[in-house]
Amino acid sequence: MSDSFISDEEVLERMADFYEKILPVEQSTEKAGQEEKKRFCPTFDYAEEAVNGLIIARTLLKDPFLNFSALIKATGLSKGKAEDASFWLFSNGFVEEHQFSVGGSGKPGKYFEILPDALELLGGKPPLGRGGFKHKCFCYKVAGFFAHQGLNVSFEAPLEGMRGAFDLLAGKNGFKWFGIEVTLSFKNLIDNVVDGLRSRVHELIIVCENKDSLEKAKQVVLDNLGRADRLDFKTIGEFKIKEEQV
Amino acid sequence: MDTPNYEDLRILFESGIIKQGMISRLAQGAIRTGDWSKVNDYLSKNPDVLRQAEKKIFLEDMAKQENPFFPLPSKEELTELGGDVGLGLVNSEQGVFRVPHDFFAMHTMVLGRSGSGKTYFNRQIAEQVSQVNGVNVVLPDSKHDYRGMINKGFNVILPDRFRFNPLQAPQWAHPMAFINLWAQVFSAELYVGLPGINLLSQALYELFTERDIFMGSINFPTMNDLMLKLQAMRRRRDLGMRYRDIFEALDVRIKAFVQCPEVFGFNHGIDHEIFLSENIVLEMPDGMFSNYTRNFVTSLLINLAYARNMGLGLRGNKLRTLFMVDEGATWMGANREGAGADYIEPAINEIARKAREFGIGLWVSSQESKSFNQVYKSNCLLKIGFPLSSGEDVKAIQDSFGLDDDQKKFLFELPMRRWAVVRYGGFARPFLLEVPEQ
Repeated sequence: MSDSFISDEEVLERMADFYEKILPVEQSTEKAGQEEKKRFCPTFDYAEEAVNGLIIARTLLKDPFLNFSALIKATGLSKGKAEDASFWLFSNGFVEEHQFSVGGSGKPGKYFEILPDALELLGGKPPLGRGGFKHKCFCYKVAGFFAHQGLNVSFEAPLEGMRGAFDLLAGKNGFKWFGIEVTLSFKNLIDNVVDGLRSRVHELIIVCENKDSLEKAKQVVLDNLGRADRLDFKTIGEFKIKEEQV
Repeated sequence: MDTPNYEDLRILFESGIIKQGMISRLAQGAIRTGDWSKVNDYLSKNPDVLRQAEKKIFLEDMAKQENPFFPLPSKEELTELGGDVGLGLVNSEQGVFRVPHDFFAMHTMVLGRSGSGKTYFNRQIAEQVSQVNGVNVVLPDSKHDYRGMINKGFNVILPDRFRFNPLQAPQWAHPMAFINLWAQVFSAELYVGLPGINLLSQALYELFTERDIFMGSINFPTMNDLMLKLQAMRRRRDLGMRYRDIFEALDVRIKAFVQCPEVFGFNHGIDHEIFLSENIVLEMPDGMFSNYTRNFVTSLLINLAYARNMGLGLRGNKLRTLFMVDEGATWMGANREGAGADYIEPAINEIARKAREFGIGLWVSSQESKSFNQVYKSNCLLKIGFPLSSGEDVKAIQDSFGLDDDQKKFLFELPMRRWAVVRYGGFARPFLLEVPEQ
């Protein structure tokens, strides 16, 4: 059945993606001391792309989740200059590029995350919330949507009865309270749902990246918990603020 | 009104022919009315019916003499059982004995001498269960026996990619609850008595406090940190002299982990959650892991899974994760008696007793019957015995499987490979199983 010999090399090759997913980035503490951390010291030569790069970085400090098109508008740079500047930021270790869609479908947008060392250098703070850049971006988008409805929104908000905290808590007294969990990997989905429903929140909303992941999330919850009241699933695309609402 | 011919009736009942065709209806009518004339008339006109019944009884007697597990599970019985995981072939019509996958949460033991086909069988079961929606299989592997499962959709974790910090409290666990569980599992698997549990708990509490783990920090200590902490505690006036022997014992046990920094030298290891969602072969070969460290890792993973599902209220008679432990010889305390540590209950006993409700199934294989402690044997719904050589093991199978003497003798006549005796809680009698070649 499965007796044929499979070498370590073959396993490593076939499992590369899996290892990347499960292995923490951190090095062994015994080995960590051997490799000195590379210091962040960019060279600034006052070239045009460097100056424009700093303009972009300053804009991103104010609004970290602008996509590339919005960034061009906000900075007033031409597309070509903005591209050169963002490349300078990237190659000097200021930013990391992310591509994803926040509309639930369509062409993914390009985003730049200011890395911690650069944040320290520029005197900025990381955006609120937990998780990676994409997770935070989704949280901000959902937060913007609820704030636009006139609700109070808090990040990483615990409620009585919970062990952890919601990614977002939205609502106001005399109205409904919504707990919001953005799920990108499903890893903690069941924990989050069980924990969230322990609280007295009126509705727990699970926000997924697109329709496929929404269906998967529903199935995971159904398989593990059966049907649950006070639980709703939405795609990130559903949190678009419509023009007439603006 | 005719009276029945009791001798004829006995033959018809014994052969089972009374339940078939015309005679069945006539007999039902006769029982209702008390008039057996139609039955007697039918039998006198069809003497072949009685002859056929006598022949059937004779053949069954002969077959039983040859095979004490006769009658084999019939097609009707197999249909009635249902189930989605095929164990193997059980009758001459190539009928497959199936078990509902959720029943594996009521645990399984597989016995058989080396080369009897246990591993081959385990692989077939692992493959089937891994394909069930909402269930994952974890296979700790000490001999690279299951690496081939990579071709069946399993993720194989090689020993040099296995980064595991046993002291990394999962996100869902309160640090204090984690400390208690950890100290219990460690003491059970590495034979540490009650004072040792207290010292371990105290050391962990101090480490977690120093590192703000109770405040939400994830700066977890490593086993090396734990060893240093215990050494520091040993130097304290109030503890050092009093518990000198216990500190020494703990030091030796923890060193086994510290001396394997490529696995245990990390603040953050693989997230425990992976073992509850993915089908995994976890290679822990003898060269790198001692029996004790391997047993501890396996028990810790299982106990955390149990605690997690319980904490999250994931109840119901539903299998969620199946842990398949091959070579379970030392795991359940087989060698405890010799080491004078049989008073310490293996960490897995609690799981064997209660885990079903929270969806954790255990499937343990071994070459010796004594590998399985009484708690586990009593809690197993499915017991499978491949050929054995030791008379002691065969006797143990007879007792545990409830076999008669003929069936016990027959165990020595089983073919060398891929044949087993099975005792399944959902079936009235023990039966023979042939594991099909794939």
